[in-house]
Amino acid sequence: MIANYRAREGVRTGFIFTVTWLVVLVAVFPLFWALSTSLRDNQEIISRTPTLLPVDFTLENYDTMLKLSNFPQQFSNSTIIAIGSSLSVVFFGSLGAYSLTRFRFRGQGLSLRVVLLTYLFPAVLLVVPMFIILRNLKLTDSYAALIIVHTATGLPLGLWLLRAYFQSIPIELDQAAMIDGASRLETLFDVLMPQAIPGMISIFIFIFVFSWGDYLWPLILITSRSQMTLPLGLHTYMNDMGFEWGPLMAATVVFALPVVFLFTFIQSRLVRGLGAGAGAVKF
Amino acid sequence: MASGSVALRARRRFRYLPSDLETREKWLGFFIFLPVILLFLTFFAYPLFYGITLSFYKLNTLTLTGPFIGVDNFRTFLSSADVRNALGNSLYWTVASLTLNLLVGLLVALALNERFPGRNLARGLALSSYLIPLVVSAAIWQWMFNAQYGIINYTLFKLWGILPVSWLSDPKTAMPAAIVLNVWRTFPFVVIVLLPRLQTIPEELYSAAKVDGASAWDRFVDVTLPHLRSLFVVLILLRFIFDFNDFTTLALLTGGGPVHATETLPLLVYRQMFGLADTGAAAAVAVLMLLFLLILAVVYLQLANRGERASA
Repeated sequence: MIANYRAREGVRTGFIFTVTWLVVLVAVFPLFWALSTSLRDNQEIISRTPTLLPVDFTLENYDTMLKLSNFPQQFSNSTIIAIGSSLSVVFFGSLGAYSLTRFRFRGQGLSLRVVLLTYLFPAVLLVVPMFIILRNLKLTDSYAALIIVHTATGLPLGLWLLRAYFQSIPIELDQAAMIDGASRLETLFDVLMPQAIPGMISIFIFIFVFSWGDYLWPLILITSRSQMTLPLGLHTYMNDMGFEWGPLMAATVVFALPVVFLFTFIQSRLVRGLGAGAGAVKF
Repeated sequence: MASGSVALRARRRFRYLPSDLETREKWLGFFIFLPVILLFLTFFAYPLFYGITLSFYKLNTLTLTGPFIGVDNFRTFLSSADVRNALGNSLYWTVASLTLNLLVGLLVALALNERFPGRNLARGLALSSYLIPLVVSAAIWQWMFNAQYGIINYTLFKLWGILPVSWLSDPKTAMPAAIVLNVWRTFPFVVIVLLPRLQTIPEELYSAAKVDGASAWDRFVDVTLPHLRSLFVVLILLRFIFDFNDFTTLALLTGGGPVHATETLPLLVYRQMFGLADTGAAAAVAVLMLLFLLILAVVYLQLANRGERASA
């Protein structure tokens, strides 16, 4: 009976193992296929009988991609904007979270809820007026425009998640610091912020990934080639080059790398952080 | 002495400020929160309000001048084939994506909740498509959907002898193809929301049901689903809003084509603003979307609440 039960459990586990891994492999296949395509020469890419792995490995697509496009420039534009937006969300979010968890003032709860409402509104509704506002401020076609917009769209998430982190820091820490004569701001920067670093890193990564991959706002706000971010550049490249699949797949691989790197870094955090009711990250 | 009063206040009112500081500190707290409020007002509330007013003007995008025309922009909707087409596409896109998303997400979450070798790695990999920049995903799927050399047509032919399909340039297949990409990309979101809850369902409930002779299906319906109900209420709403508002996926994959077959409302807003240089009409479509979502959200939440009370 017990042996029978064990055997049944074994079959069950084997079944689940097989099916789940099949599904996972199907889900990962597109990424694998991009990598695999990027390492083939053109002859092989348009072959009538494609193989799973490249027959002759070649890096020529990466070479072509770097020569043909503005890739390095766009890579650095995207990096500056993504880091700028993440840092400002972390900074303003921390200030806001500190204020929300350590002070009481009128309208606190209301502002927190109103901020959350922002998720409801279509980005395209903001596109029209934001374009006009930033144009009037003479900010279109600049890093600043994108950093501002990404900060504004990322701040609700940053505020809510950092608030949760600050709440979990015992208030006795503040008290001890203040009794020792620390001012409010010293308490924030020297005592609380070091404690909230894991939370701040998570927010940094979330906003980085969002800003890094955003296509809508650069499309609206950036016009000159030298200011283009990677998503915009990649799409322009696709249109200009008429779908040269090899170099294009090479570009997608390099583009996805920082995200994959960050992803391995936060993998465990992701399920916890998003599961905690903050699942409304938009990418 | 000072520390005594501090501790006392902390216990009494969740506050720990000496009273002489209280007024000053209240202002400090507000002052620290001010940047968030200012950012929010300048770059969210104001544009929102501004966008709504724009919809009452006939405004040229290039010059940004034009007369006030009242509700004319909205009146032209009633006869506009573009708007009707985009609304239909939006509903098709949203409802199909949502349904498949929840189904796939639920099944994958259930599978990843089981114990099997390599589970942590499988969890990580299964979520990866959500984090890859959308431009990258769109490029990859364009390559896979390619009519001549794409791996999808090749596989379909190899396995079932299906003749090559021009997925993205045939008005009939473009939308289903885009929905496949969308579901592939966003099902991890559903998994991320459901998985932590699945992990907290007590094992005893399942063994008790088993002792009572409940089949695997019964256990799923009577134990698992009720625990996920509240999450589904939120998920359906969020996914509906996200997909309904999504501009990027279709803009990148099909650009709204072929012949507007995949032009949803956000793409129509974009085309009206930059293609037809009619900012007023673009703003009006965006306002229409907002109203639609607001009404839908209110009705939906009311129904969900009633359902909750009925089942409780």
